[in-house]
Amino acid sequence: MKETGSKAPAAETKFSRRSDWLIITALMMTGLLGLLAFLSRAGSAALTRAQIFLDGALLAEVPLDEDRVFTLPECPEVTFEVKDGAIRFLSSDCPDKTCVRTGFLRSPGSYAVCLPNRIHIRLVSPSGQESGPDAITGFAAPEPRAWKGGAHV
Amino acid sequence: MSDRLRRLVFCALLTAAGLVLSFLEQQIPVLPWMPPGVKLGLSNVCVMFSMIFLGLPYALFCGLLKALFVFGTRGLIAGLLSAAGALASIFGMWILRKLRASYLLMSVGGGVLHNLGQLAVVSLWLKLSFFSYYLPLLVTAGTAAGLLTGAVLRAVMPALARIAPKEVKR
Repeated sequence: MKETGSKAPAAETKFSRRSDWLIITALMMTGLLGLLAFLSRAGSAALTRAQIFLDGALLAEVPLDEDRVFTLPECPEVTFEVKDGAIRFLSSDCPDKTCVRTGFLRSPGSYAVCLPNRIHIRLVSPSGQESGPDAITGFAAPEPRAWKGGAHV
Repeated sequence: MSDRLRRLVFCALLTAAGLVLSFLEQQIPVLPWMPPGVKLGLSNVCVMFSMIFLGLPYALFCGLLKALFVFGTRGLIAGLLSAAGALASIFGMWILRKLRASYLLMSVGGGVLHNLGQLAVVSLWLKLSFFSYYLPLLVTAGTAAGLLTGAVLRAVMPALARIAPKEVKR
């Protein structure tokens, strides 16, 4: 293996090799290709819906066609907002507010997460073509409720 | 100065630097396209240095103390993420070193594994596999972070060679 760019005084380990850059390029390409594949799956706003999970169990599926602000009875401290075909955490009682700062979710397959409350939102395209969770472990999830409207704020 | 003492002092220096970098990293505002709580792994450079110059036990000390600091300042979940990132990256770099990888490859490997470790913890915590969504992005970000830490290593190496203990045998 050719040894290049070695200024290291240590005799044994070289700083970089030609083959390293091959690996690095491969890693970067994986990332970019993955991103492209993901972005090219954007669905139309009217048909996309959002799934809200608590502890990995589906709580509700929310259509995004109508603007609303709501909470769910299982987590009364967290409010969600649907607007212009997108959904976000509006407010939460967690210390960090990372979930709120994530902002609106628009493309199918994207997530917003509140770790302390163990809640996450996932956007699903109408044909369900973006890949679902590879596995949900631990329990049988209850039947997701059809959306009848949660408690309105 | 005896080699043992030199190692101890160097470890203390690196750990202190790591804590400062970790604190700075926490100040970075939340990026919506990153999974929550996942840090960029730039402070991992200190853990990497301890791996190279001091060996596995010292590296573990540096990484886990950093995680303890994060736990104290940001809470349990953040602490677990930091610990997972540190452990994954330390053991990955250890293996890479055994395989006679170059410093650059070790940095990149450390960076990528740091992110993967954090992603694993987030996925387990939420009882859901996040891999299909976040994996490509984190691999790229980890590679970039690894390139950066590798560049830092390259720049600092001549200075370190004067004060650091001899490199630990592979």
